Amino acid sequence: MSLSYLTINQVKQGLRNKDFSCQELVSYYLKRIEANQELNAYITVTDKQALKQAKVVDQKIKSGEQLKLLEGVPGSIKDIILTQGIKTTAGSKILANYIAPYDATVVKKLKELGVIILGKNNCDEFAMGASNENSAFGPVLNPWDKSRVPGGSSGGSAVAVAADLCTFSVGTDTGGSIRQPAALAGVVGLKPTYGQVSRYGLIAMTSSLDQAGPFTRTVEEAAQIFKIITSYNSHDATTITQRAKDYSPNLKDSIKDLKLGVAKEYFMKGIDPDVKNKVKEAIKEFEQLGVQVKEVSLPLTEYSLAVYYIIMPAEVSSNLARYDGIRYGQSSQVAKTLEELYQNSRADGFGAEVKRRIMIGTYVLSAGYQEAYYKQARRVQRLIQSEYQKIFKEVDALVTPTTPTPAFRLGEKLTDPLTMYLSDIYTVAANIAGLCGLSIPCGFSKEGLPIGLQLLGGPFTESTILKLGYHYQQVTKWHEKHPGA
Amino acid sequence: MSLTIQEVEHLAKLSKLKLSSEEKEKYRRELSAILKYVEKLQQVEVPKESQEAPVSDSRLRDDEVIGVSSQEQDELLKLVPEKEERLIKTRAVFK
Repeated sequence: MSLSYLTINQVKQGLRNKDFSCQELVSYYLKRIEANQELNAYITVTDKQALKQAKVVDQKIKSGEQLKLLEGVPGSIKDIILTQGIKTTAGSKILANYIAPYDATVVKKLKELGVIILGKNNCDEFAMGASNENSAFGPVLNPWDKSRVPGGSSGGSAVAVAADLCTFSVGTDTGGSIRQPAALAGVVGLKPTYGQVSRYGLIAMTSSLDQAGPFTRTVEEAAQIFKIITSYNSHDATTITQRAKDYSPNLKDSIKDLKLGVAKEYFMKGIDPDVKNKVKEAIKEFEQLGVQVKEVSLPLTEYSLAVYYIIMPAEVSSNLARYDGIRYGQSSQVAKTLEELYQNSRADGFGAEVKRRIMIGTYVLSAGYQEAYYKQARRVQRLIQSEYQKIFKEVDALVTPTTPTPAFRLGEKLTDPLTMYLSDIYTVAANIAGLCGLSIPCGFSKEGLPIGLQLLGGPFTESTILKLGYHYQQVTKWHEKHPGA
Repeated sequence: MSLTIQEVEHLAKLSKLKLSSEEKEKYRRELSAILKYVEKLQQVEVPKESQEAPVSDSRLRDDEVIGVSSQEQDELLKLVPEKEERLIKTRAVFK
């Protein structure tokens, strides 16, 4: 039986039916990871542990023991998420040798259900980036065209799923870092509503926006992983206690007469014509499925990115103050004074993008500027939240392109930070407005590069966007296409 | 907002980042461009008294000692760059 591009259910079935052993499956992925090392999707591969676990799973199957829900399913984890006993670097030199002392809650939940972790995925340093070119461990390459980026910051996770280097992956999304690489790499990526998934064990980037979520090849699998990782957690006081009744969605429920909004501001100039056309075709597909499409307007859209690039760096400057070279992480050997220890350890350990964001954050929070920058951003954030609140009374979900262009070339956007920031123009609103967002493949550009469609839902309405995505995948085959070789 | 080199030096000092003179100029240019972009928020009419976005409702746990086992302490001490027995070592805090 072919082990190529198996879904979670196919893995479960295959193991239970003894079509293949868990060791065979894990070996298959390990071989593929090695054969595709050039893609640089993994910083750490936990081959020995994975094979050891697989052996135990095979013994359980042999003895007829009951298997856990995801027993033997091989997954990978973005390296900004702590995995006990395994090196966790956040893509940074400053944590190059940091061994996580505990498991993040999302990791714990997956391990409890028998998931086998294949390794840690490469990512932009401290989740800062939209191309995975900011990693201290080299860029990740797009398997569809290795001269191009896979997106970021969860580039490694997206590529691991796109290139069949695991069955699924878990990444994080603060301004688009799951959805944007999912779109550029041609896979499914879900950003749950802030408060759904515990941030305990996520190396903090922007505490009021960070959220972990799944990368999968189908919407159905994204829903499966989402169901497992979402819950109240006492270690993260921002996780919600009240869960929406149908948060564990019945994907097959009818989507007829659901109202889908198309915001004209999301089709502004700068959007690639192929992206525009594919998204418009997808909207017609939804209409054929019985969904009502309605044009709406979100005039504050143009300010979302600016709000994000004030609030996010502000929190980053605070969260990254902990890297002082004293309790963990790289420490300057030559420093003579305490001040030198701080300055040198951080200067040596952090990359340029990280330094930029720390300094912007410091500036917008500094005395004399906090009112005009940070507080103004927080006030505009509230306006944006209200705008989305009103829209979600008229429609059940919004459909937008995930990114303005398909995957760009390595190095193309590195000279001017702003051009890189603009890649997130369609994704940041979901983070700052507290929405949920799903990116699904909806076609290819003339050059054969994946294009992603984004479904945005109001807070805690993952069931709606997952349902819409599921139905779309029943009548289209974009998600079944894979990069060559 | 175009930053001066002195302003960049001030930011570097606050951020505890050592910067070379080339880096200071590079960041001066880049940070100025970024700040110029985010300044568009000044255009949005929001009266100063209006509210900021609500902070998420987070409940704190009870103020009681949970404690850390010596095994957990060992795990954490393994990660410390410089130590003396079970004490974390650093440079002198006072001159």
